[in-house]
Formats: sequence, structure tokens, C-alpha cells
Amino acid sequence: MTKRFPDDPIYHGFDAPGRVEAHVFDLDVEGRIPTDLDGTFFV
Amino acid sequence: MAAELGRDIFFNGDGMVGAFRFKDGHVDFTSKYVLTDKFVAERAARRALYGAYRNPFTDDPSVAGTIRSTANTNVVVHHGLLLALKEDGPPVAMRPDTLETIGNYRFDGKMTSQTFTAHPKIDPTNGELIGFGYAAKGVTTTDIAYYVIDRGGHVVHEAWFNAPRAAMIHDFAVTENYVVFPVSSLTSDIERLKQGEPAFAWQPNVDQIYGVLPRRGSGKDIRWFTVPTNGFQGHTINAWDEGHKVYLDLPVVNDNVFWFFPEYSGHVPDPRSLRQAMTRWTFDLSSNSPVPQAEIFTQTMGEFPHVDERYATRPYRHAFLALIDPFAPYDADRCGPPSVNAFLNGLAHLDIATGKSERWLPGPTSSVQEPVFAPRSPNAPEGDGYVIALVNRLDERRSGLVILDTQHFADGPVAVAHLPLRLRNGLHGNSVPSSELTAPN
Ligand SMILES: [Fe+2]
Repeated sequence: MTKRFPDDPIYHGFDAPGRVEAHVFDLDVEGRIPTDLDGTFFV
Repeated sequence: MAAELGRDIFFNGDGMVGAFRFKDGHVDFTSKYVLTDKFVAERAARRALYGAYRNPFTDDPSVAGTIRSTANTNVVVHHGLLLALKEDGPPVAMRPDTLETIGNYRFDGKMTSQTFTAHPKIDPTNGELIGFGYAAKGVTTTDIAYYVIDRGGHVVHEAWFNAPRAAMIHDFAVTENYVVFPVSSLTSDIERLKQGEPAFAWQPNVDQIYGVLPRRGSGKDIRWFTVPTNGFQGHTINAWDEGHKVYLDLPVVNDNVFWFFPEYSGHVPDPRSLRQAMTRWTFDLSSNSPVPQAEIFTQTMGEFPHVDERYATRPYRHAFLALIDPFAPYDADRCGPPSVNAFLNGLAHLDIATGKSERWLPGPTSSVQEPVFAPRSPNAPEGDGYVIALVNRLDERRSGLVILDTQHFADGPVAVAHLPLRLRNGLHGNSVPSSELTAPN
């Protein structure tokens, strides 16, 4: 990045720029994912 | 891409779509940027070419007249396509299986509106996608284009009309026989855009406006209702009709929630003065009165609602919200100053019939993003199933995905998927059963 993101609260803390495209196979789960959950959560 | 102008608002980030895929008790995660025209051009240039939110006058001349959408507001699956939506441009189609971007999408090329809402509705009884564009002929125009798209993706009905003011219309509502357009008190003005002022300004002394149109009506059929008390209309929860009456449930706040769109005077209200009322409007089409009846149907406060989509556009009993609990503690020592949407500090399952809600709070170091609902099975009773939401672990700067069973909602998640990364605050999403995820043609 040539230009930095400005020092603005919208880029602070949890909302710091993410910029990562990810693929995570089989997320680490605490508890049990219901087996009748069959679909995709798009967000 | 960092804005060349040096400042920006939360709503102007480049859209990135995430997909959590559930199967056999496992969940995988993928995220990809939406390859909008803006994103592709700026990557090639290695700098921002598009300026301020919704203000084309601040753009680099090399991109004049191009589509400015960041496709960052909502993702909806319809006729085998994943549509990434932003209300200032056409949908951007993606493949639901790979999240690859296909491109700007105009439903068989038939949609001539420059814009399409981020909040279209799907009628569960016939699969119709019902949507509209405001500022449909360009920024600050009052033109509204309304579309009904059949389950195959073809435009089967279209109507054009003009709003009573050039204002943001972020969400709307659909019933079996009508559609309702809440016209906000956030207005736009081309001269202000040219001066580099914010894209919208709150008008403190205007009526609330709601337009009601028959679902297959033409532009002349629009009927405008007005409420003499101003209000900030939130996301619609659901709507339905019965005889000559149309009912709409949505939160209304007493003053301007969007501090980044101040009044002309520059005034923004103290956030502590904001009061949200979950309001049921009754629009009586057999009455000559322009004023709808109001009823406050719950004391629960929240935003980012979802219903059991099998009951969308029809009478319903269950709603799911990101809860706003003004009394829940926030650990500023460990989390720092509140981030965007940190006031969304729990999840609520709201019983529309009683106004009571079951709640789960993730604790003083977490906030939540919009919850969605997945029925336990295709034939499960309304509201029987799972609520899925991202939880922001503000202290750890990581994300979790929680799954709650509506049979024992207040007990908290039955599963928490830990992400090894941080998904910053986004806006809207949807849960789609595998049976509806056929690959596009
Ligand atoms: Fe929205």
C-alpha cells in the first residue's frame, strides 16, 4: 500500500483494515455444530 | 483501498463476502473481495480513484461515469446467483460456490435503473425477488424504480415514480399484496455534493414519509402516508396485509442515528439522547387519512433484524435481532474505545405476539454482528432452528461464529467456531439452505 489508511476511528481497534482473503478448512469448534445444519451463511 | 481524500465513512469500504459452509457437523470458511469495477480499477492503478461516499464529483476524472458500487452491504442468493448489493449501483453477481465475481448484473439486462437496493425481499410462496432503486436516474434524483423478478431471474413487473423528497431509502417492506417504502429524513442535494459536503444531511423538521404501492401497481398507484413526528427509520423487520390494512414492523429512532450525515448546521445529536421505539405502523388504505396508526409492540431494542424467511411478507411471530442493551457493561480497559456498532451487545429472539424476548449476551469484551436464522428442517415450525451470528472478540481482536438453538436460546451457543482472524464489522448476510444453492447456468 503506497498510501496509509488515515488515523480515523473507523480504522481503529477491531475495525482496523482487514484486507485478507481467507480460506479456513474445518474451523476449530467448541461445542457441537448441529448435524441438521446444512447450508451456507453468506455475510 | 485507502481513500485519497484522507477521510471516509464506514459505509464506503470495499465489499468482501464471507461464506460459512455447514455440513455434517463441520463448518468451513471462505472470504473474497467482490471484484467491483471500482476495486479492479483501483487495484490496477495501485491507488484510490473513487472519492467520497456517494459523491462522484470527488472522483478521479479517469473514472467519470463509471459504476461506483462497493457491493459491500448485503449478499442475497436468487436464481442460483449470489448477488452482492449496494444501494448506489446494480447488483454484482457472484458464484455462490466459489465466491468468484461474475460482474454487474441487470436481470437479463432489463433493469434500467442505475441503482438497486441492498434490501430486496424474497416471497417464500413464489420465489419472487422484489426490489427497487432510488436515485434511479443518478445521485440526488427523486426517481424510484420498482421491480418484481420471478424465481428464474426475469423482470416481470416494473414501475417508476418520484419520491416526495430526494432522500435515502435504505430498506423497504413487502407483503402479499403491497410494498412499503420508508422515505428517510436524510436528504441529498447535488449542489452540496459539488461542494464536497456529506452525501446526505439530516432534516430535523420534516415528516416521516411512507409510500404504499400495490405489489403489481404502476407509478400512479403510489400512496404517500406522513407522520407528523420526525424519526429515523431503521431496518424493516417484516410486513403483512389483511384486507385494506398493511402492517409494517420496524424500529424508529427519535433523531438522527448517522452522525456522519449531520444537519446543514453541522448539528448531530448526543448519542445518549437517541431513543428507539419498535413501531408497528398500520396503513389503512380504506381511510382518507394520510397518517398511519402507530403501536409500540415491544420494549426490546435492537437492529439488524431477521425473520424466519419462510414467513417473510406474511403474518409472523418470530424475529431475531442484534440486541441493544444500554445497561450491559462494556470493558473499555480491555477493548479500548467502542468500535463501530459496539452498541450491538447481544442477541435477541423476539416473540412478536407477546413483545417479550429471550436474550443472550456475549459479555463485556464482545459485540455482535447481524444474526441470521436457519430452520431446523424445511418443515420445522416457525422459529424452530438455529441463530447464527459473528461475535467480535474486541479484546482478542478475533472473530467467533456462534450458533444458538432457539429451543434454549438464553442458554447461549451450542457451538462456537473460532476464527483465526478478525472479520471487521460488516453489515448484512443471509443463511441459505444447500437445496437452494444450485450452480448458476
Ligand atoms: Fe441495511
